[in-house]
Amino acid sequence: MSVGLTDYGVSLPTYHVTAEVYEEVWGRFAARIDRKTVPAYDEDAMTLATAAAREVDAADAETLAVATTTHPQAGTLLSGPLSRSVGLDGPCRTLEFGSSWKAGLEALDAALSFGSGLVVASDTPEAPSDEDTEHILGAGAAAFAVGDDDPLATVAGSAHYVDAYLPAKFRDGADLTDLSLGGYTTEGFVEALSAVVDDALADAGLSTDDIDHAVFPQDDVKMSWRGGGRLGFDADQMSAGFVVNRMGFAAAASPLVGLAAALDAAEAGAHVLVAGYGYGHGASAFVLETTPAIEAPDSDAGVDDALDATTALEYGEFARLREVSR
Amino acid sequence: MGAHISIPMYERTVGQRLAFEGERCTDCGTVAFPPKGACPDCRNDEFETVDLSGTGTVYSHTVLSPGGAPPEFAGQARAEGRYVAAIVELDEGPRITAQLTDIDPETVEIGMPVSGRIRRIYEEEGVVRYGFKFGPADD
Ligand SMILES: [Zn+2]
Repeated sequence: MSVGLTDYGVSLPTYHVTAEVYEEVWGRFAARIDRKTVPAYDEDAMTLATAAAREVDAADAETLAVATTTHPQAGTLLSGPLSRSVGLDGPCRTLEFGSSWKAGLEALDAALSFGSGLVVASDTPEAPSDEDTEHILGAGAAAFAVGDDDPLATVAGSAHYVDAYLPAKFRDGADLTDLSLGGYTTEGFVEALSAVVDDALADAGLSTDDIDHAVFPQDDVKMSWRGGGRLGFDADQMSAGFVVNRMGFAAAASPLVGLAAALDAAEAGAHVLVAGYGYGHGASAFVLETTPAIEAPDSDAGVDDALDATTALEYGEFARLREVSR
Repeated sequence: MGAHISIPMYERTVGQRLAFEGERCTDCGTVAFPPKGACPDCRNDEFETVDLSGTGTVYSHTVLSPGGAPPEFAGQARAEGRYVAAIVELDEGPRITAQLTDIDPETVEIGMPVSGRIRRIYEEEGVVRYGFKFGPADD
């Protein structure tokens, strides 16, 4: 039987802050989204990872593949505490991916290559609050169980592309820096993404019209939406996985939370494309085909409900929380 | 509910901070969580490790204002205001002290079903400490 995703779940932080709240204070909101999620004082990439992983049945996983760019404890990895909290402590291989926003897809790729495992991507990116770069930053986590036991979706195709692209966005300490290079930022994004989308479709023997849901990198709404359009995808194909509109951008976790939302929306026999891009290096894409198991009532991760369930903060509350937490 | 613990103590007790690892008395079957040196019921000192469900009910609770927070929770109280400290009776019997989270303090009721979730408790000596808080069970 072929390898695929056998279960999935997500976890979002407690709070959100809306575009209107930013506009009241700063006069503008640079992110072109409705709102973004905000971690509580006691939430970080580890707690969100645990909460997402606990939604997933992966008790027998022999590989734990983790992705984050925001380790709560510098100099170590999430897999230690995460393994204990989900009962995978003991004989279990761990692989951890970071630094790049493509890390979530790299973790997924690793587990798929091994044929089984638990994949967890969790991130809480930050930037100084007086910079436009900060406006889109949210947080979240997604977890996927990979195996061959009655998968919900199997891999129909995949592709990867790497080159020495300009690191137009990078991290300086804990903070994200965006060089705001306009066309130079977009160039690598479009080139690498075009390559992996074309190649993954070819690998699956499909065309853009065959894709029911497409999930693209979501660190820039305009660039993502237009980039998807240039690759031949329309709003109907991109909407379900476009979680940035209510979650904000959760770095390495974003493509996998988007994938979870797309799978929630997908019927049996659907084709779902998910692509990730990492500044300074390249892109990866997977085409998944859902099975009848996707229509089981308990297969849904409830991403839509989770996005609705966050609690609104006024700007003063948000600012106080940030000031004390950082 | 002071929560200061040394790094060696944190290390030794990680099974009750990241997982619900309790102990069941080999004589009378009483479950202890966190693990104790002797059975709270029959004083027997032989146990087997058991994974508890992590669910229970609110036995009692109190709302703490930021001014009433112990030093290790002062940051959280400054960031988010008042919070709820509770005694939770686990389904397996033990009663433990923990914070409630993901809930409006006004809506907490004795007997309401809750489930444990891992949160960042505080950072001390540069080490991030995690532990359980409880929230609405169907969450
Ligand atoms: Zn006993």
